[in-house]
Amino acid sequence: MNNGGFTIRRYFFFCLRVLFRQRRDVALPLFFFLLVSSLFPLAFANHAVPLLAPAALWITTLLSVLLSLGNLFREDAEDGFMEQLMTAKQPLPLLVAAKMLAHWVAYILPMFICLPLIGLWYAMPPDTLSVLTLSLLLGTPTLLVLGGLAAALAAGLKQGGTLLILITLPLATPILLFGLTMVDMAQNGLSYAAARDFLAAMAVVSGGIGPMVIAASLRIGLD
Amino acid sequence: MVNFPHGFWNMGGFWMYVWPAYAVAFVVMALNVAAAYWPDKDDRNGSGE
Amino acid sequence: MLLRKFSAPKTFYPLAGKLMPWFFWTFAVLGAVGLYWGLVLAPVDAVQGQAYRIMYVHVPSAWMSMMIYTSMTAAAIAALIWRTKVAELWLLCSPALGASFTFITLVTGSLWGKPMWGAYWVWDARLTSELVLLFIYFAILAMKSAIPDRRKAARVMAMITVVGFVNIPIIKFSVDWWTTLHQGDSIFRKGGPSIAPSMLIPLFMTALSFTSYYFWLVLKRIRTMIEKTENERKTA
Repeated sequence: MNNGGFTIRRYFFFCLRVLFRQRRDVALPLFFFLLVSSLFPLAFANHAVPLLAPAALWITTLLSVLLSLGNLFREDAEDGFMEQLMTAKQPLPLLVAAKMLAHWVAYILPMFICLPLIGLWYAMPPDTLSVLTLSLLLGTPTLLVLGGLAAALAAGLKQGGTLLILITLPLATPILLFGLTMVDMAQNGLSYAAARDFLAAMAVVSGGIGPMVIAASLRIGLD
Repeated sequence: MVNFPHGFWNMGGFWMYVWPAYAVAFVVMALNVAAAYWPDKDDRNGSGE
Repeated sequence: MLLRKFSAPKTFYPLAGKLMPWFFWTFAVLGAVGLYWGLVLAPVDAVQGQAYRIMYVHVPSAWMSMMIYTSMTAAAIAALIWRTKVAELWLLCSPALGASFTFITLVTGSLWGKPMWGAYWVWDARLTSELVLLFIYFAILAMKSAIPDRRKAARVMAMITVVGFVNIPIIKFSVDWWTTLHQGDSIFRKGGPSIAPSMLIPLFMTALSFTSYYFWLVLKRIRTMIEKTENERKTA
């Protein structure tokens, strides 16, 4: 790896392999996701569950994604691998994009696989569940980019995990609200196209410029 | 001068709402002056809070 | 060239020292006159009674909360692209003042909301985005206190500031986006202001007074920081 002669695709699979080797750590945010998801229907009065389910699930996902991002760059920063990446031939934004993609596959994809089960817990009608899944699919890339930005800035710091949450949550509010608008409109039989397109546009924009911003933030954060 | 259509102690919410608003603003702004002119001696990056 | 000259801390320090009294006296005089006019001389509002007088502190604070953030964004861009030292100092010294004005806006807005809408708080788009702005200020301040190195702290804060800047238009135009409880813009709208000049002039006075207050204190803080850096360099 350290001769710089690796491709972006190989780096992506390398990241995945590393994450798979640490699968116990990777399972923790998923466990958190399931745990909190089960607490909501338990804590709500039964009749309130269908009403509050989308909001509860969105907030749970938001927190789980942030939890998973806590160690996105930390290990690479600590063992000096990040410095090698920064001086590699490949542009850092592309490497960051590969790493984020691997992160999405390892941490967030399993949450989507669990969604039908959670839909069962919340007694969610299939229509609502599918719109909710779509809203999360469109929303999580932007969440990941915002959280990745905060993770990059807080990479070298002691309380990095807490700071990451403090920075990301206010910035992520619009994503949460548009995701919920989408589900809300669908539940009321309205067209949710506007909110969906907005989320999709945010995902495209953050996917496009996010890696560059995160790469720049890494250079600042690990300075 | 101020006219008191609702009586002095209840002039349409002056004492209930208006002066607490000004009190809060005054206190916060005074604290900022204090922070700028008498900064914490051992703060880490010398910016005054 | 001129800009580069003034952006060096050494030339900025005496310049700030010269400007500070002007800002202080603008703040003090306009604040006193504006408040006396607004609280005592201005007539009682036909609809809102006395409670509208909160406007003279609420509206300028709301302007300041956004103006300070905008100035921080400009400083952030300068700090990120050119690494301008004064821009970094500006960025380090501003968020505490911005957070203060945002806090004042929220508290006075709540106190105004109670007699007007019957509730201290509603989750209306404008209130919510102002609250989010306060949280962003807190996040920037948290980053600042977490990073001991001043220059690095400034650049990290710059990054968050620029990303958070997306939030400012959401605050300003949220009234148009969501139709809610919150009253619409009554000052900057088509067809001129909807409030009487005798109520409006003191508002502009307090607004200018608050702006001067911000410049006065931010310059004071920057000067303190330049002094501190100098001392550190001498003792090191």
